[in-house]
Formats: sequence, C-alpha cells, structure tokens
Amino acid sequence: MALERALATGPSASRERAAFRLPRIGRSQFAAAGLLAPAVFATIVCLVIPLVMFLVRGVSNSEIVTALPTTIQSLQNWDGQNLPPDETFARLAEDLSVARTSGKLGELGRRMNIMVPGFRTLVMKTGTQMQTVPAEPRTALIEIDKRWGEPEVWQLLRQESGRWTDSYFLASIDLKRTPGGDIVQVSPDQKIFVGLFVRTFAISISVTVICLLIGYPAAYVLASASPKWVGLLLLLVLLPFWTSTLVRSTAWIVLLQNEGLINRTLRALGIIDGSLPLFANRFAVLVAMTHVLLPYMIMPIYAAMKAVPADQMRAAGSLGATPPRAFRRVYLPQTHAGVAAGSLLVFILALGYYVTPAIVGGPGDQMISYFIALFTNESLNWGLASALGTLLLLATTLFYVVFSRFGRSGAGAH
Amino acid sequence: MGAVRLKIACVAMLMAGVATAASARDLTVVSFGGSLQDAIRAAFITPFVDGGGAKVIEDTYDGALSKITAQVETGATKWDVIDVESNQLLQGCQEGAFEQLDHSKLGDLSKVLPAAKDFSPCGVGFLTGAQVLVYDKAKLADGPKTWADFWDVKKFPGKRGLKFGPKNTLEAALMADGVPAADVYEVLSAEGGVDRAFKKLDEIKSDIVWWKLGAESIQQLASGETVMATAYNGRVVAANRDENRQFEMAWDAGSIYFLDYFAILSGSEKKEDAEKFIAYAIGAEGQREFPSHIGYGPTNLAAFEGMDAKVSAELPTEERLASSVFRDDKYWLDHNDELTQRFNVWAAQ
Amino acid sequence: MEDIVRYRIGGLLFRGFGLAVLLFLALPIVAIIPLSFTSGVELIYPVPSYSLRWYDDFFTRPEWLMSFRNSMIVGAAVTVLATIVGTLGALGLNRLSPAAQQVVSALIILPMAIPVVVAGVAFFYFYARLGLAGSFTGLILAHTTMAVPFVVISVRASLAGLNPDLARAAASLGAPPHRVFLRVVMPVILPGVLTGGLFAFAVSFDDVVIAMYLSGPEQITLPRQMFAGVRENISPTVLAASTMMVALSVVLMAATNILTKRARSLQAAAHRTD
Repeated sequence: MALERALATGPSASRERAAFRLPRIGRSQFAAAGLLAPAVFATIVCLVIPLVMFLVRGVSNSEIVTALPTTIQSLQNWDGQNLPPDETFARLAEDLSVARTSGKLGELGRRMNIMVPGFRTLVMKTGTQMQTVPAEPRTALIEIDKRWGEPEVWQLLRQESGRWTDSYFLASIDLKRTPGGDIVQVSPDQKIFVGLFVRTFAISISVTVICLLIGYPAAYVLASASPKWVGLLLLLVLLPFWTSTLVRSTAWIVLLQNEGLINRTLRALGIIDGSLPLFANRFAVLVAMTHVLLPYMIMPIYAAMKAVPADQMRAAGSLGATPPRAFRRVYLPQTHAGVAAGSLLVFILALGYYVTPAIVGGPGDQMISYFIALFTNESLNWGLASALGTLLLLATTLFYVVFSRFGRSGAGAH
Repeated sequence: MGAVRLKIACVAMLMAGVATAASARDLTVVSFGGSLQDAIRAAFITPFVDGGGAKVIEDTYDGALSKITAQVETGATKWDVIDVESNQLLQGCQEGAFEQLDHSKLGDLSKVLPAAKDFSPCGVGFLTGAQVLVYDKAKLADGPKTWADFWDVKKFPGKRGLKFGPKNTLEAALMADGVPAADVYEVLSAEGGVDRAFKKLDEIKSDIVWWKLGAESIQQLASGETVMATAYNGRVVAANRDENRQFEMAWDAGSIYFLDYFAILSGSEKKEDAEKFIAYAIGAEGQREFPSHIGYGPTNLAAFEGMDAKVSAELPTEERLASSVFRDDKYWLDHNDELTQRFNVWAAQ
Repeated sequence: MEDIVRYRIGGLLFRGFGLAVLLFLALPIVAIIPLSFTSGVELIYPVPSYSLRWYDDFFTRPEWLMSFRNSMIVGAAVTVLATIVGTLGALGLNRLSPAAQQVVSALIILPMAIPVVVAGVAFFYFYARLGLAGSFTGLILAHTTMAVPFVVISVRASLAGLNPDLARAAASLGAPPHRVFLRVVMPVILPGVLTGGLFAFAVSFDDVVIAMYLSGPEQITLPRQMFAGVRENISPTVLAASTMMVALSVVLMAATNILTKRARSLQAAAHRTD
C-alpha cells in the first residue's frame, strides 16, 4: 500500500507526500525532548529534588547551629587553650535552657553523640537541669558533669561551629579530626567503611562476572529453544521475580546451613562426613545474590539474541568458519548490547543489595547499604548515611560513565 | 502530545492524592506484625473495641524510628499508639516524637513494674521479654546453668548461638566472666569494660553461630545447628507449645530483660482514645490475657493473680527478673553506634 | 570427523550448562515448597507432618489477600506507567548527541544508583508535604520513578539492533510517523519493552523499603506483609503465599502459551488465504 502511494502521481498525491516529510535535525531534537520529558520530569521532580534535600544533610551541621547559637559565637573569640572564659559557659547554659523548652535538646544530644559517644547523656543531663541559668555557670556545669571541665570537649565544639561540617564525609572514609584540628585515621577497631566499600564493589563485580558467565549459556538455551519449551524455560527465569526476598533468603537458610538440605543429602549419600560450610560466608552471599540477579542478566541477553537472524551461523559455517569461530565472530558481537545492559543492571543492583547478604552472609560479608540503612532507620545519623550514600552514588555514576564509554568503543568496533 | 497529556495526568493524580489525604481516620495501633501483633489484637484490641472503646485499625512497621520521626516532622501523622522498643522510646522522647503521658489517665498503676512506668515520661511498658540462655533438654539432659557454662566448650562441646551485635552479647560475656548481673553496666561503662567483654568473646569466637532474626536462634537449636543459644523467651515458649519442643530456659544464669512500650505519636488527633487504649492494655485484665497468647510476661504484677499456673511458669516472674539484668538503654543510646562499628570490625576478623 | 564430534560435544555441554543454570533458578523456590505444607511452625526439614493450615491461614486472614491485591494494583499501574515513560525516554535518548546521551542517561539511571533506603526516606519527606504519604498515588509514583531506569536500559539495548535506515525508508515510502513506529520500530524493540516492563513489575512487586515508608495501613503490600512479624518468627504462611505465586505464574504461562499458539495458528490460517 505504501508503495502504491509512493508511486502515485497527481496534485493530491504530491500534497500527501509533502505532509510526510522526513524530520530534520532541529525537529529531531525537539521530538527527543518531548519523548524524554516524562522520564526526566519523573526523575527530577520525584527523585532528584527529594534526594538533594536528603543528601544535603551529609554536610549539614544545623543541629548545633540552631541549638547553641550564642555559644558558638562566643567560642569564635576563644583561642583554644585551656578552658573558654566564663562568658562562654554562661552562653551555653542559656542556650541549653532555651533548647530545653523548644524541644531541640534531643536533636542536639544526638548530634553531639556522633562527635563523641556519651555526649548524648552529657547534653541531656545538663540540659534538663537548666530550668534557670545558674549564677556561677562554670562551676555549676562542671559539677553537673566534669566533662565540661575538659578542654577537648570545648575544642571539638568550636570545630563543629560552622553551618557546614566535613565530619560525616571524613567519617565515611574512616577519618576524623582531633580536637587540635588535624585529620587522622580513626582507631583500628573502628575502621570499617573503606573496607566496606572495597568489599561491596568486590562482591558486586564478582556477582556480575558470575552472572555473565553462567547467564550467557542460559540465555542461549532460552533463545534457541523450540516454541514448545520456551514458555516453560521462561517460567524458570521469571520464578525468582515472583518470590519475595524473604522467601528466597529463607530458602537459602534451609538449603545451605550445616544441618540444611544440601548437607543432609550429601551425608545421606555418603559423599561427605561432617558438613560443608556453605552458609554464613561469602559463598552463600555469592550464590544468593547470583540467584536473585541472574534474571536481570539473562533477559536482556535473551532479547538481544532473539534479534540475531537464525541462519547467520549456518551461513558462517558454509563460508568455512568453525563453530567456535562463527560464534565468536558472528554471534557474540551481535549480543553485545544485551550483555552490556545486563551487566550494568546486575552490577548496579548488586551494589545496593543488603537484605539478602545480611541474612545469609557472615560478619565479614556485610555490604555498605546495610550500614546506610542502619544509620537511616535506627540511629537517625542521617549525616553519615548521606555521606556514605553520596560516596556510593558517585562511585556508581563514575563506573557507569566509564562503562558506557568502554561499551560504546566496543560497539563501534564492529 | 503524549508528553503533555502525561504531565496533566501526573498533576491530576497529585491533586487526587491530596484530596484523599484530608479525610478523618480511626485510632491506629501499630506494632511489629506477626505473632506479637496477633497477641496484642487478641488481648488488648478486640476486648477494648468490644467493651465500647473506639474503633481501631492496625498497621505494622519494622521498628524504624525514622518512620516515626518522619511522620512527626512532616505533620503527616497516620499513627496513634505505637509499640516501641526501649531505645526507640528514649530517643524518640528526647527528640519530641512522642507525647508525654498523663499517668492519672492510665488507671491503677500501683502494681506496675517501675521499669514500665518510670523509665520514660513518653511511654508505658506492657510486656517483659528477655534474652535467655536456652538449650534443648531432649538433646542435653544436664544442660548449662550459668553463662560460664555457656562459655565452657570443654564441658559442653558444640556451637553456640548468639545474637549478632554488641547489645546483649557484651552483657552476657561479662556475666560469663564473673560479673554479677547487678554490676554489668557499671563494669561495661568503666575503663576497660568493653575490652574485657570482647576478650571474653574471643575465647569462644570460633564456636559461635550468629543469628539476626528472632526465629533463627530457635531454628538453629531445633535443627541441631547449635547446642545452646540465646533466644527471646517468647519464641522459646512458642516453640515448646507449638512444636512440642523441650527447650529449657536457664533463668538462674541471669537473663537480659527488656520491655516493650506503648507510646503516643506526637500530634496525634486521637490522643484521648489512645490513652484509653493504653490504660486498658496495662490494666490487670488485659495483662492477664496477654501471656496466654505469646510467651512474654506482664508488666502489671496484678496480672499474676488468677493466672493459669501453666502459663505463668514460663514467664519472667518477679524472682526471675530479680536475678536478671535490665538492659540499660541509656547506655546503649550513647554507645550503640560506636560499639556496633567495633563489633563488626571484630566479628569480621 | 573428529572435529565435528568435538564441536558437537562442546555445543551440547554449552547447552547442558545453560539448562542447568535455568534449573538452578528454580532450585531454592522448589526446595521450600514442601515446607509450606508443614503442620508445624518451624522452617526446618524433615517436615513433621503435612497439613494445609498455612494455606488456610492465607485465605482466612484478610491481611494476606488484601496485601496481595494491593501489590497487584500497584504493580500493574507501575508496569504500565514505567513502560510507557521509559520507552519514550529511551527513544528520545536515542536522538540526542552522544555527549548529551551520556549526561541525560546518567540522570535517568539515578534511581537505580542510590541506596533504596535513602530513596525511601527522601521520598517520604517530599511526598508527605504533598499529602501523598500513605496513598496509592504516592506509592505508585515512587515505584514508577524507581522502575523507569530499568525500562530505559532494556529498551536502549534493543534499540541498538534497530537499523535507522529502516525507519527512514519507511517514512520516505509515505508511512505516517505512528505507523513507522508501530510497524518498523516497535517489532524490533518489543523484546526490550517487554523485558523492561517485566523488570518494572519486579521492582514494584518485590520492594519492601519504599513501601515501608510510603504505604499506609490501607496500602500494605505483599512484601510488607511478609516481613511483618519477622522480629518474632517467619510464618510458614509466607511460604504458602510464595508457592501460590509460583502456581499462579505457571497457570499464567500455560495460558499465554495456549493463547499464543492459537493466535499463531489463526494468523497462519489468515495468511494462507492471502
């Protein structure tokens, strides 16, 4: 029909043809914007704005600035040696008294506890006794808690007097500031985050590679299956989607524990004597995460494979290529886009996973998001959660940029 | 075009959402779901509603304080009465997330445990729970009786189940090291106390199987994965009752006990009804009914009068509590983050 | 001769391995199906005796059916919305210059890259101000935002296989834009669109964190219901629910199979009359 229209002559026909002009470059960009608008709108309004509002907390020191305004102003004039003057103590007493009535005491206590554990009680204890400002602030405060008589406490407070703070980001890479202001490493029994980041990336990369290696043959089986079996095989791939995280994790507990199904079966068959350590370790985490993320690798590769014409391999063979060579030179490159998409999906998803590794993994297998969740939900340390989250986000975006550059050059090669 | 239409749809949906949010609501009681919520429903909610109290709808949450504070801060409060753990109650109260309770509206509190009514002005305890030393009597006829026994791998070979995390675990370690229950927190907060606890844990580190969810410790005991463990007493009672297990709780060793509290969300529109509900929940009647549904103990000692002896035998009674450690959440509020980090570093080595 | 045998065996091993992987996917789910029929409360083998009590629990407790219904409502809405928005987005991305593509696509995959807990809290604070916290609308919007990147990535992968000349040729032959899209573009990207839609559904159906923050008592989703009470114990009802999902998907798959077979034979019959 289109052909007939194209061959038609006469005034109405040419008018019709003029209406279906090819889009020029300018209109293409406009059309692009129109198509992209909902996606971008959704992301920006519904995510970026709230996200930025949250991530700002990673550098925000608002709790101290709001609760102790006159104290920190007074601290600016202090030289940092010994104890601050009496006037500062008075300001602190006043600020705490105001904070007590305005309900900001708890928030301040939480923030200061992040600086030094134990400061929450210090703040609450002192603040609740500040119904009236004492006549002798210095002696009164030190009597309530002798920590007010330690210079380090005041030095730390002066350090954290600004509207913004770098303490969260420092903490997220296992650093901190001494009362003197130098940046040092935290003590060895607290050093955890750098290792966590490394571990998270290592696990994610491992899972991605494993998913790729085992997912590719699986996708191939799926793509080359006869229509009779495709449905059933697809069902196998989609099954993990239907089962919740909790069910899958429970299943791995049941399967992998020392007294779990696998060990019992192996023992019953006489293959082993004791138990294989399959649970609460890296093995369990890799297995469980691979199982969850495999469909995200298989489906894009499968989709790409379906687009490869079936007789190309045969043609390559008839042109003299051995099956492995035909596979490598003809088939593989055409599935490139699917492989890239699947790998990207699996990697990024793996980075954010923490529920499954938390349940099936051992103490040495926690991922960074577990701590982000802990700080967000339990301790309300949103500063540290934001800092960690921002770092994770930056690393992920960096990886994505590098990956897509590499992917494009790879695609351009053929 | 399609994009414009989609934008209009988005805005329309936003407006529809705003409209529906403005409607009134019933008294909302929130707990952790599962068997605990079933017990709360059976012992408190249903009798309360049947007895002429306000209509109640339920919700569940996972204990995240952030969900509570987020509602209070944005004013989008959908909850009224919440079942909170002690540390959440402390922190939430400090930060203004909960209403201050008026004890005069809560009925007869004369027989209520001090830990339940004096712990915080924002909440009242309604159940006592404990982490106890548990073993399977069917497999170990003469089982461990003290925490020192728990640490004695020669006398009782096999794996031990411990909750992953510093809370309760450090206390148990100190008790195994000979610290009496009453002095645990004094020693822990003193210089070198934490080091001492970690050093004690080092002794059995290779024999520990960590558990995270309450059900895991029981499952590990049941399947033989561990030979003894710490577990929540409510879970132990349930296992004995529903699975015909013979789990024995070594109360004399000294458990670490805690309370769950009912609190009212700050700014709740249903404060009066909420207070009436809480009054019922800690009244003798509700408190007597509660342990027959789940193995946690009452906070109102009046409940023990007229309670079925079979039920009370498994509960944290006054004597059992006397030899136990009341988990000091003020200490943990200050030190949980720091010690959790240290614990993770230690455990991963 | 030897070579061919070697290649054959290699090919068979390759396929056999692929099949094993597919079966591995079903392994844990199948392994716990018997546990859903346990008469006890514990989730350990061996099963003491069999019973249907947990299935009964699922159907008699209104929370379970309601949460299932909620999950399906939200999941369906999210799938439709995210697929449309994501497909349009991928098509639009394709028309940008490579440099612009990098920037915009990095922005669009942002929802995937942030920790879901952070997203949950961020969403809550923002949506609460709009009065959307604890509503279906808010939950659907949030899930859609999280799901769009999946669709975009999947469709883009398919688009890589689209020859741009085809579209141009069709247009030059007089086809209107929507027909170019339906007849030339759509068939090529259909696998990507369907895959993306599937992922969108999975993202919504399995999410528990965002649902925890954004859903009120009337919108409790299935994952939330499953995680409820996990502080005390994992009820075997969870396994019963999961087994029924599996059964449901088997039925759906079989139904789709039959329908497509019928559609294909009808199509074949129609073509034959041409």
